[in-house]
Amino acid sequence: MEITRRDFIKLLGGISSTIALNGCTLDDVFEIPEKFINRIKSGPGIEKWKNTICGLCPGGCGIRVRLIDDIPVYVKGNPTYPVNQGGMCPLGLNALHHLYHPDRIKGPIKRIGNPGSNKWEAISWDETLKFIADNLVKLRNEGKSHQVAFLGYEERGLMHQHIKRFLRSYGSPNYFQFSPNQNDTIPYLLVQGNSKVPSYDFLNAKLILSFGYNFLEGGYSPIYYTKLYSHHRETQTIYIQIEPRMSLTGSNANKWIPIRPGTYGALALGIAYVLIREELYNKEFVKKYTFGFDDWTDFNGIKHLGFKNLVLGNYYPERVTEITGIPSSTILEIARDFGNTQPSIAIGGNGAIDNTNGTFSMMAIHSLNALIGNFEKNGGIFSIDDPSFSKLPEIYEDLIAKNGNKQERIDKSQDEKFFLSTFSIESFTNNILSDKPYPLSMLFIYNGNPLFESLNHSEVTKALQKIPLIISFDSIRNETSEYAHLILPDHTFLETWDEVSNVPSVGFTHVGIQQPVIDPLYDTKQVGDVLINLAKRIGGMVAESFPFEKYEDFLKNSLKGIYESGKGAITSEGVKGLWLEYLHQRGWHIGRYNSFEEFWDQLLENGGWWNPIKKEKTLDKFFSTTSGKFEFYSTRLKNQIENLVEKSRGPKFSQNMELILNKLNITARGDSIFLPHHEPVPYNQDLPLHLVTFNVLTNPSGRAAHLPLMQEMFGYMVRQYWDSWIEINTKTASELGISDNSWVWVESSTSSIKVRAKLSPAISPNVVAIPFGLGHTSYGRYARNHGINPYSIMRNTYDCINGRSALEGTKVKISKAV
Amino acid sequence: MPKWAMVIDLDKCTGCGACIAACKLENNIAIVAPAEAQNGRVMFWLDIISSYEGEYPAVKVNRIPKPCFHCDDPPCIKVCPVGATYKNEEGLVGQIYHRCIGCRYCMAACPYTSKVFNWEKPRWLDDTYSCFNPDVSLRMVGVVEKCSFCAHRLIKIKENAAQEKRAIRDGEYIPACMENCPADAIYFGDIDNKESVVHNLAHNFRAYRIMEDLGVEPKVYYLSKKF
Repeated sequence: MEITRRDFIKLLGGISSTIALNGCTLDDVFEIPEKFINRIKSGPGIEKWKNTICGLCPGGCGIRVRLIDDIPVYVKGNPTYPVNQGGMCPLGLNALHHLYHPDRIKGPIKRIGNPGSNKWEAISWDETLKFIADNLVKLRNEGKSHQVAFLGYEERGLMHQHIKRFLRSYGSPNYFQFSPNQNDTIPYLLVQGNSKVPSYDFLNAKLILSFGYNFLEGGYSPIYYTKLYSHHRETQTIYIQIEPRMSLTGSNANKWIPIRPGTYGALALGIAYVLIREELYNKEFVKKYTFGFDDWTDFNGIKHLGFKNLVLGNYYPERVTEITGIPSSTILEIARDFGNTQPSIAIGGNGAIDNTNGTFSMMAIHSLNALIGNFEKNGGIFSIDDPSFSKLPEIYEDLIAKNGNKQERIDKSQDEKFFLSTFSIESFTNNILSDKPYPLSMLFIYNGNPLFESLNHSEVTKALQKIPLIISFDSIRNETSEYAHLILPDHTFLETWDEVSNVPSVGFTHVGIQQPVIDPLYDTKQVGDVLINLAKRIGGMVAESFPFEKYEDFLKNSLKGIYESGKGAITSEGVKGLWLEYLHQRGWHIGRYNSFEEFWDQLLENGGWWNPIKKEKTLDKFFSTTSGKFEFYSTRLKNQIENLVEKSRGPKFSQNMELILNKLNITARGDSIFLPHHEPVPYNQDLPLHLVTFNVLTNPSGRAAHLPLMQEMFGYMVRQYWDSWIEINTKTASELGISDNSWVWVESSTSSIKVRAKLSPAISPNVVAIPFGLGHTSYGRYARNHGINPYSIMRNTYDCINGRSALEGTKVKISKAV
Repeated sequence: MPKWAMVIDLDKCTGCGACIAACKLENNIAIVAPAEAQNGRVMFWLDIISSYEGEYPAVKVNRIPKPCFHCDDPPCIKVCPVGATYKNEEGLVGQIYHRCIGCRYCMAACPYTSKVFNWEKPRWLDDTYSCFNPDVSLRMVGVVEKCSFCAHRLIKIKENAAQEKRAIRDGEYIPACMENCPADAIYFGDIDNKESVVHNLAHNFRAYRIMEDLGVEPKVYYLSKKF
């Protein structure tokens, strides 16, 4: 690579100045209260640092906030916190812009105009809470407690338990989480029997084969993986990234292999073919710990097809090449690398799972790990112990609550679809619109923005308009909360108490403490406290389920269990995993505290607690399927589908089966339905190009679009600031007469959008990619009216088993815009 | 006298952009309004350049974080008509904003286009309140700005070291980009000190400097196996 001055000069050039001015100038960038200004100007300038956990994404990085005269002025990574070890992503560094955002809601407000009319009126907390509690009591008395739903986002740990507790004791089964990671553990549930997100031992692996999992930019904890990646550059681990558009992970991988969207499962099975044929798989493991590999006979004497013969019969390299577009020599090469370089890991991620065949693709990818016997060993997959929190107080249910909890969930599809999903936005909205199985009377929305992040935008809009009372807890009004009737603003994470424990897929047990680094700037309340307050107002057994006054007390109480367990250590300097392990083996432990109060103080000072020592587990404990083994042939899926068939009334079993399979969009028949297999995606074949979306690190799921610096940095890689773009392969673009930076129309079967083109050789010629995150119509002054939302032109299709949106299921046509 | 230098390990760098954000926030660099930004007025003291190598599907992307190179023989100094840009004895190339007349000769002379022109009015504490880092002053409109290797941090560290009557330790003075890099790809220190990490890395077989043939002696080294 030669870099010349010409390359540098290119950076300076702007695009022609004919762009319309977007009404947003950057006066009053941030809003800092007047009292702070005076303190900044005339205070003694005493510097302090406080540790907390970043709350801008669910990654759970430890941060240190610099305070001058108790005013936060700077954020950096906490070097002793084991998840990020001092590393930060651009978004996390921007935490203070979130705190001082000028569009933060400063107290409870009530909508007085139409949605989007921007007419709101301030009300007092007492009045609002009384109003909501009265409504909740009224619904309960009418026996309609199940008509209250709570739509969360990605909350885990204590907050998740807290909301669950509220709804359980109140009497509603309707607590859902609508986040990009929803339902992603369903494939694991089918093959290994539990829906725990596996942790991958990246540290000891020698080869990582990633099927569309962009772990450096998205995933569960990008900075945790970035740390591991940079460590690996010294240990020479091989990364192979399979995805149609080269993401940040792809560009850092040793090998980038472009694939046709929606065919990840076929490739995984093609690799399995080579592993089986060349006997590169772990025969001992397969024999001992898996079910359904060879052909087998059941109790009734019926012969069943095994994984081996399914793969050998159908997924030979020539056919896989035809499906995936990857040359068979490459398939052989990666399969041999994968089988010979041990330990190796196969992981699947958003690219693979976000399609109509996501469940089967992920099952196929996970099968590769079973073939090489990759469980509970160094450089493989293992499960992480939960932190030993104290038992939470009991939840009391009175008769009304018991009745309410027995009701069917409101997101349960009316036509057998999504039978394994924990939440489906599609059936949720359809059920609200059709009042089936019952109407929804009240909806709490916490943190999420379903209107922006869903494919069925217009249905969600209608559903939101139909619900009589919507209460949102947002700090900044977004598209969804424009439809709310009341907004009870939450603290930002810098003003609140919470814990962030065991971020999925991070390789050790840990608990991070989120503590207020500053008193709340405005008249806001923590959601946990609001729920306690509401419970107290409802009274009876609902109030009894909340024996603590504040959410903070719940938190403190939970942490007592960790103190009492005497395990692990406070995250502090010099305490490394190996050292802890060494002490543990010799019967020592590193606690430097004599009472809980001391433990608590140290916890706040250092930011968290962790325990890298894993309990030894046997493999039969790892798999909780009926056979106690890894199931290539998923008995759970079989039982579930047969249940559906039996439930639906009809003349003949076989006919019903056909009906159900058609409804679920499953084209496979016979035993292969329950085995990992490739399910063709029903694309609209008239259109030439696949549309894929991707998330950038600066703006995951569009949730950082309210931060001006993140907007400026949105496209720093392609020099596109504050705006969306479409990535097109250089050759495809020249065939269509599209030049770099020119405007193009992107047209799907449903609608079209206009966006600027960026040419790139690092994307498949039959694929175009648009970043997700811009195109907000609300969400503060910096987010509004910048860029476009690619979801707006996507087909409204889903994985019919787990209910995830098929984000790679759309084909489009592009043309030059005049 | 120490000589400050930076080493960036491109084999470790992922191109995540944390250094850009850390730099912008540490140095109170103005966030430019959307239309202005699109016209090339965006200000990144530390930028990441991407370039593609090869043809589909055998494409490689190079992402190179680019701060000011703090050249030992900086061309920007020679062209400045008012002496607003200078090199001090520790090798840091600085910019005296009050003296700068905004002629932008130095921007033209800099082979690495490391300098940026400030088109934005400063927002001082009184009218708007964007000054987060109290250690760095805001720049007036119409001056040229650049990466300072976070020299304001050095002042404090020097004071501390002087008080404790000792020399500055290796790794004590680090810029914001290095502090927050999640890939630990940036190293910083005294290149004349044979014990320092930076000295050793700069003499690594992977080490090289961009456009070395110009003879401006940049003090930012890159490590990469590709070269």
